[in-house]
Amino acid sequence: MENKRIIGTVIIKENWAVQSFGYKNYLPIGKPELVVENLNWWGADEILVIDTDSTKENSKPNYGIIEKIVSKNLSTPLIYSGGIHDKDQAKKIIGMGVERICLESLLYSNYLEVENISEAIGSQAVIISVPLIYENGKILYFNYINKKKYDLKDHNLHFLDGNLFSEILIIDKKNEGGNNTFDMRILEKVLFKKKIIVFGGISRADKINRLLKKNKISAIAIGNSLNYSEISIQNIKKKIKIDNFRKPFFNEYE
Amino acid sequence: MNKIKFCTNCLYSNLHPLGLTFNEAGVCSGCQVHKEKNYLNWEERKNKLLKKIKSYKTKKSNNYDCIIPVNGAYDSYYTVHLAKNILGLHPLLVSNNNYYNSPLGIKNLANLRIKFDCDILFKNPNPISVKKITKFTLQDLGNVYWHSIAGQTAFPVQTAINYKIPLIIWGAHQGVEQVGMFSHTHEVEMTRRHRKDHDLMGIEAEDLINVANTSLLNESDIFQYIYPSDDHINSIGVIGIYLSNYFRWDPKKQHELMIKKFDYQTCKFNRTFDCYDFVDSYVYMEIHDLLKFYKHGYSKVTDHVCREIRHKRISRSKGIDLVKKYEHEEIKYVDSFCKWLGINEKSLKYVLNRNRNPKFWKEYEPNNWKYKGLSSLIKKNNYLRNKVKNISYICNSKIDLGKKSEFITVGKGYNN
Repeated sequence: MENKRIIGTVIIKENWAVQSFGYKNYLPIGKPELVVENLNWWGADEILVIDTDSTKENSKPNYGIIEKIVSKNLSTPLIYSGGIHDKDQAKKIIGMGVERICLESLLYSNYLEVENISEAIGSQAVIISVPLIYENGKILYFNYINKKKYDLKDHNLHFLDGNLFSEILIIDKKNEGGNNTFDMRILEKVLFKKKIIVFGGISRADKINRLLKKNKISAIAIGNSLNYSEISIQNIKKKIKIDNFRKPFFNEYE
Repeated sequence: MNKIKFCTNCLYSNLHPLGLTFNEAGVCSGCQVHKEKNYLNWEERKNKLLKKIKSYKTKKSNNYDCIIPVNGAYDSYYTVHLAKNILGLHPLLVSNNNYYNSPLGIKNLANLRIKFDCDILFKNPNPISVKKITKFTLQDLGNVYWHSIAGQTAFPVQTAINYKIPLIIWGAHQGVEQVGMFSHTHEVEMTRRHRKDHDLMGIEAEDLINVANTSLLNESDIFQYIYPSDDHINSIGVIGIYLSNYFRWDPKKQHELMIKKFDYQTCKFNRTFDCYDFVDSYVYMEIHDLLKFYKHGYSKVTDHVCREIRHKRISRSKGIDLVKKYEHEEIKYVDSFCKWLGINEKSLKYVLNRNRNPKFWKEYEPNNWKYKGLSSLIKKNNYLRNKVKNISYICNSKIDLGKKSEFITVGKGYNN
């Protein structure tokens, strides 16, 4: 049985690591490479870096930031998201030392290129991001490019069950950045066959335990709240009550 | 260089070294978070803190409830006042000697111990190592305060572990106060990451020996600045809380209360109108402030102005005038600093000039520089023009207490 994971998430805006609140309001945290370095030090199981500026149309991946991050000699696998439009960019990022990439808008704008990327770097290295909102009893898909919401029922997401990627990152767009505000109802009607990573307003151990007990969920991504206290990842891990989980460890100096 | 963007409310720009974000109205994250001070229920927040610290209060009389890092200035008096008189804690005060002590700072610190009836633990790091580190950080990082900040942030945590006192109480969180790094409601606590990222400019004590010439520094020079391991922090359960998340933080009002109640003493500075913050140091508002101006294009007076604009005590327009009035003022005590560090003034001037950031300074002829920094670019607007009162500061002493201006390198007390 595969171990379930806690993913430390770092949102980047204008080259700063920021706290994000619904990808709308932001507060500065610090230098991305140092925030990532710290998550590595604390023993995150994986680190997800999302560059919000690079998600804009026609932008490129933020190679400068990636270079600074990988220079920290991380032992934790890294996922990068933002501005990836073709297989050459994806290959370059993997070549720089990033383990996996996360795609979102490309899925809708150029599906064929997703196939090319998956073939070039391997489907295990590709994650698909799906921002969702629970509203008036419906689950809506949110498109970051045109800022519109679509009923998940009407939106053609059948390709999410294809073999081009390894996991689906579900983001609770509305509650992202909140204090334990993740809306569990989002998961009720989501019937993907792939394993799911959940993100958006998940901070407390009670909710993390509830989520990790679901078979489909392979990992929890946590952002803002990891920055609020010392050894926060280890303190969360101490309270996780499932077996297939890497126990917390506390760094000592040699 | 990124396009420079200024906050429409205060004077900070997107080049702030701690990072700054802006909302759609162009108001910076620092001003947005500051506004919380006007609508949060601070009585409720105080009660929340009382509940939080309840388990840290020891029932035995042979240990302390908490550790409070202090010096002879800044928010030390108010932090001890809140901890002892409002929260009812029995604190152990800790103070790291940075060797830049002014007589006034030593006097304030001695008075603090007496007025609040507290035990205090001093750390006097090996002065030879301190000078070696300072020579390196001045030359390579353009900073003369690294050792001071590294010491004052590591020593309380080391003491917490050695004395098994898990609670550390800090006054304000500078990231929250200046740039709105966190909401007050996030109740952010002390972290190693924030210390390294912001306090130490990304250079930890361990990194120092890797980046420095190894013949200059070795492990015995830096070990006293090493932050305890996660394993140690976890074993004692150390946490560091910031009182500014639970009490409405207003340094000017707080200092004036401390002057009135506990005889806190203050002095005038050349490079800012604030007489309260850094009276313990011959370096902070002088060489340290000049380096900040050279590297970042703005100086401490801008921080003071932004704080006062947010508290609605000065207008943005008046703030710009104050910045322009103070930021080019001469620095003092250069000779004392050079004597202490064992360098000559010409070498110091050379190193200081080498730290002028070309974004903000142009050398139009040898040793003549033109400033093209932030205050030369900012424009006045009408914000708060008619809503402010006059600002005045109480100056009740002198930094050298009227004596010869020399650093007090070991401060055990001051009889005056």
